[in-house]
Amino acid sequence: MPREGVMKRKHIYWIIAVVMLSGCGMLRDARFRMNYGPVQPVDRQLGATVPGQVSFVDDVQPILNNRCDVCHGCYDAPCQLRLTSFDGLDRGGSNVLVYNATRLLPDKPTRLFIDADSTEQWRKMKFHPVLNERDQTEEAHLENSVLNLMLQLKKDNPLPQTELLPGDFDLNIDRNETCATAEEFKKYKKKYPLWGMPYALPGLTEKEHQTIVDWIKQGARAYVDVEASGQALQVIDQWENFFNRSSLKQQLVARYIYEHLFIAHIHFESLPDREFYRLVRSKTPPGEPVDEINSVRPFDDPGVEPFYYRLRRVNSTIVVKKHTVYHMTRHKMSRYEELFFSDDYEVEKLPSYKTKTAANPFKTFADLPARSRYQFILDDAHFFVMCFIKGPVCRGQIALNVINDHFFVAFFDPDNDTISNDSEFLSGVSDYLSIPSEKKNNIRIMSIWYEYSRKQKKYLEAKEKYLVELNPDNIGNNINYIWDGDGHNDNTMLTVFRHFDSATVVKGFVGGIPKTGWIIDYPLIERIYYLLVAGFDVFGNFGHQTETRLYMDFLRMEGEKNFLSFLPKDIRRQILADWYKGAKAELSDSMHNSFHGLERRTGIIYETDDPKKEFFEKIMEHAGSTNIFADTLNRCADENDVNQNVGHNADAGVDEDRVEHALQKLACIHGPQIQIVPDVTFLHIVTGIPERDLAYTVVRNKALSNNSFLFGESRRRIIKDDSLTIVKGHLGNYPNAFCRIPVERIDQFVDEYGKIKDKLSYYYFAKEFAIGRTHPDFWAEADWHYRKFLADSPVEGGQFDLNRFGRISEKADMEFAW
Amino acid sequence: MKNKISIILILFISILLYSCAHRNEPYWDSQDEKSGNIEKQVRRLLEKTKTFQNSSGLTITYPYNETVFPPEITAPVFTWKDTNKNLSRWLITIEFNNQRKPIYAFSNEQAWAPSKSVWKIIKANSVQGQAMVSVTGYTGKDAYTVISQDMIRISTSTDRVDASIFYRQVKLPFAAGKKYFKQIKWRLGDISSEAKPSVVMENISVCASCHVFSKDGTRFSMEMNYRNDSAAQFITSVSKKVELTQDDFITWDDFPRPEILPETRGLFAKMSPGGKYIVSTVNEIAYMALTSDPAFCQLFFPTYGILAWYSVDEKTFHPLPGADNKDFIQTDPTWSGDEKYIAFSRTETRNEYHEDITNIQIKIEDTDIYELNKKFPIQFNIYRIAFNDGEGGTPEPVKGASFNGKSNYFPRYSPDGKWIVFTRSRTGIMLQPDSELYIVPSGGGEARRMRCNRALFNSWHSWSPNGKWLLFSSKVNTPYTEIFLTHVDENGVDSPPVCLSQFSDAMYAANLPEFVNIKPDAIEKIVIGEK
Repeated sequence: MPREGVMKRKHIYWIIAVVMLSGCGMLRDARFRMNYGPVQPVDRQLGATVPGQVSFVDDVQPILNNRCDVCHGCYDAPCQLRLTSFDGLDRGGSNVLVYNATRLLPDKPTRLFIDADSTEQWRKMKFHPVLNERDQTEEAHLENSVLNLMLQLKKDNPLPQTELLPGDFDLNIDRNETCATAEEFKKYKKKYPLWGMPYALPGLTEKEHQTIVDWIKQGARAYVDVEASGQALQVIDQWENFFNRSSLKQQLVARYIYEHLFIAHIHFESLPDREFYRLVRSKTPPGEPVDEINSVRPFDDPGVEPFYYRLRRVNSTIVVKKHTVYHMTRHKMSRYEELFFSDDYEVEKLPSYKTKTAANPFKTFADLPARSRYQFILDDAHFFVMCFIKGPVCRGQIALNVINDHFFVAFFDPDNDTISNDSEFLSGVSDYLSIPSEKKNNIRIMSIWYEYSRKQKKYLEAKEKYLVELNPDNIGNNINYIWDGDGHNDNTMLTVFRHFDSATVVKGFVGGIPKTGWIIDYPLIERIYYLLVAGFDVFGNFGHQTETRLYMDFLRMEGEKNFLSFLPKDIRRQILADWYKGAKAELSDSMHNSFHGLERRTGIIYETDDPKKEFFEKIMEHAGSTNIFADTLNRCADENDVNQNVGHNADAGVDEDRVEHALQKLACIHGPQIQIVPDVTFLHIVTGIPERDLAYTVVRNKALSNNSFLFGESRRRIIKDDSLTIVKGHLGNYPNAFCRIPVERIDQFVDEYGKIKDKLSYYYFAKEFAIGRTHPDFWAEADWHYRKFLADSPVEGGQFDLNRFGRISEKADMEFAW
Repeated sequence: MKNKISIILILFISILLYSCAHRNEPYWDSQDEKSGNIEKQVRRLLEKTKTFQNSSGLTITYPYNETVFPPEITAPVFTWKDTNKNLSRWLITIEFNNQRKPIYAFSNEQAWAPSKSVWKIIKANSVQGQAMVSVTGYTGKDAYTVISQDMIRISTSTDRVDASIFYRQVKLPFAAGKKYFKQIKWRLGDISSEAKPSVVMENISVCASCHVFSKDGTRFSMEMNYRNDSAAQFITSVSKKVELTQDDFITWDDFPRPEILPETRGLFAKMSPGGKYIVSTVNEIAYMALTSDPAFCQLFFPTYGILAWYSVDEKTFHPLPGADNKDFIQTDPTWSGDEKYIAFSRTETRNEYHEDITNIQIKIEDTDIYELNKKFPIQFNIYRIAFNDGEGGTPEPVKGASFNGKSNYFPRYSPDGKWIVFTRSRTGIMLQPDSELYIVPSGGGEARRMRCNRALFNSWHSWSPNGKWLLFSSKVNTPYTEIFLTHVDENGVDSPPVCLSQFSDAMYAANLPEFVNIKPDAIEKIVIGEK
């Protein structure tokens, strides 16, 4: 047969195949239509709770909170199915990934409550329903509700009662998602019989299951009261008035505050612990229902004039991984007045929303005193660092490997650091302080990296020149250049932990003396905030994401070098070399910037042969009464050097003393065995009296030779320097493991933990103490941790995310059959 | 014409036969008054030898000096190496320590195999005292110039072996797969037979390995992959034709195993002397690498494992308390003759040698055993634990076979329970080039390096049922392991060994040899039945 004939035949076969496949889908859809009617939007809002019926808010939502929101809580909810609110449930699921590192073009944002106002709009954005939208009969409700089908699948095929989670379950956070619709469910069920919901976890109780089924049978409707209380209305009214004042200065300040609080969960002191609000831009003025403007970034042109700053209630379940609490205390308003309105300065013109200006806060807010801006941030430094830790940017190994696993942060004193105070200087160098966010989505990664590395270099040169002129005697900073919280503010010192692909920030210096530290000034924190929070678009393309990550290298190194500037000059290069081991790392460092700002002598006199440790200790001492997080559990010098302060807390009970005395030994463990244990383990110490049970967290800190590169992290591991940090309470938003320990076995727990040296010994350890995914008590344990966390942190607490809860082990396999 | 061809053919065959008959060269038993030309030649050479001073260049390579032979063994081949050129004839002289006159023989090659009758005489006359064997090399048919000489002493024990040897023959390098397994042969024979040991099992497409016979020889047990079960083991009665069926098999997979662990194979399983129990390593994780050296083609050792025992009568599995510690590798168990003790090898776990214990790969390394040993060192210590009807006890290190800076493994109790012979090397538990046999009092004490050790690899040892002889394997002569035999007296002193060359095969390594208390024809065939 002639070649053309063969080709034609192949084409025909392809066409037939495509037609058949499409036909199958069409046939299936036709069958559903025939059986259950066409798909059409359903109004699920009830005017009031119906007595005698299952209530979504009272009966269903609590189940979803505790069993579903642990995975379906945020941007990385599988299939974008957000079950933290009725709106999310009604919206349904989507095959489109939010986190997509290969995106060439940005995706349209799909933020719940923001980017669409109705179910129909979500359907147009390719969200498919998980509740029935065909005929409103009981049978159709059950057969067309993916929620019901998934729960039923789990009930029919419960999680195997095995020690180890079967290999069928892929727990990788970047696993391929299978977002089956009701029409596709039969195929899904056949292919993945074990993949009912909750996925890879024990199923619901009979009662929980029935509650949801009954609600679905009722038609899956809800009455959700979104109205604010009378007391709240007063507070809202007061603040909305503050933010919507008319003078140019007031508007500029309002814009500044908005751009810094736009992802905050604002808690007003006088309102209930679990009531939070978001500061948004709205088309509607105070007094009317909020019509939120759905700009992607807070400095994007709102597209509407006028617009208003409004406070919108957070109506979703609070998941701690994105719960960034900003406390609007009763003094806050007067503080803002003091910071921004007590100095004599003028705002003659409001800055534009053109990206080039708007993405650069040093240009946009040049008229606001730099010191005021800095102090505004410092007042809640923990919150601002938490914004980028909990923000959408902070996900994934490559995003997180820009930081070390464990480091301390302190701040320049605004009264002494003239860089942070000098509005004119900052305005003058504002071009150098621009960040890649102004470029929007592009793919010119290398050229952009080069452009901004040059700018960073110029900034550092200008800064160096400025400081030299200021200090001609070449004497550098003394301890007074470190902010001491002004005697009352406990945001002076922070500790950042990286947990592989997520992070946590806490107040105080927690854990052993880390490898690195950052000292942050105003230009640095403002750039970090705008790079990672205000300017970050989670729906942006891979170029935007990569440039954000690469630019962060500069900022990290700037913070580290600020730290080094306080140490003796003659050891700075050596310490820097130690932080950036490896010839390639050294090259990277020299390419990023040279030894800027490190030629001046320190103003601190050191007395020991470990100035780095001594400097951290001086900071703690300098913080004085604001250092309320004295860490007695960690700081193990050697195995024999047990901290005598542990176990002698006058406020602690006998159990707590005993437990902390035992746990302190864990902080002495270093080296290879640590790579076996999970990144974040929550401990539940059972005392026999439930209200006295204790919670601790064991955090694994992994050492790297350097943070210079995006990839190849495993080759840069220095396993012998791995360490553990023990913290009272819950630290981390994504626990990887639970351990439950009767208090009388705490010493045995510590001994066994110390013996872990490979996966097998971890397995045996876990058999004794871990509550794994297949454990019958898993949910009880998860619930306990959530309740305990809320009890300890009634405002900051929230539901944990269990997407990264690991398996104890895979089952061993040997290649060779004898 | 046809007749002529027939005659020529007959003549040719006759000459050939004559030559074969006289392959063992002419000899002269001077005890025998009949003499001839050979006597003359001998006497002339002896005259020359009297004045011979320099004996360089000739070394008798086998037997070894002071070798002790069992009384029932067939004749060895005496071999020597003579580096002197142009030598083509040697005189072998056997002199006795009693009144018996010497025997003389000639050889045109560097080997001599005494005839059956001559060997009988040699054995008979070397019991009370050693016989001296000398080999003299000389040139010139008429000149008889003596060029080289060497001598050794040998003797014959009154202790018979009185047991057969059951062993496996494998091609090298060791491999896996049906095709390879089918080439493996299992032989059963005894040292008194001129014939090669019979093949009793072959052409099996699965792996079969460690095996043990009961003390009374009525039962035997072997690890054998059965129906894709690598943990299978059979226990069956000895009979002429052994047809294995499902009923003969147990599986160590029935021992409870934590989910994380790979399937066990019931490693190094040993049936008790009475046949009532089997002890084995279970729940093991093993490291294995194949090297590029056919002689030492694999590095293998468990990195984790505990001991468990099986009751043959009750068909139940149990851990052995005291040898089930998760912090250690417990392996390579062996029973004392009275079944009161188990000696085994133990050391701390080595799971870090695996990149990922949940995905263990056999490594194929383009390197030798020496390099692998450096990368993966492991040293075992021998412990002893009371069996206590399965209750176990507290394991105790055997002094002399533990914590001596070496790896100690493969313990075997003497039948009277007095001694333990074990293998020692710098590292490892199997197939180590520097492995040597040591003997230690079974309760611990000073371990003594045995005389029987050869220059390269000494292991896989087994006691004869009467406790007088120990067989073992060595690669001293060839990468294809051979079986050796040494005599052990009541003081645990052994002799330079006898090489059981009729148990060897070119291109096959003899391994896992075991003395068995049965006649060599007690088993003719072992097959796997249909059911």
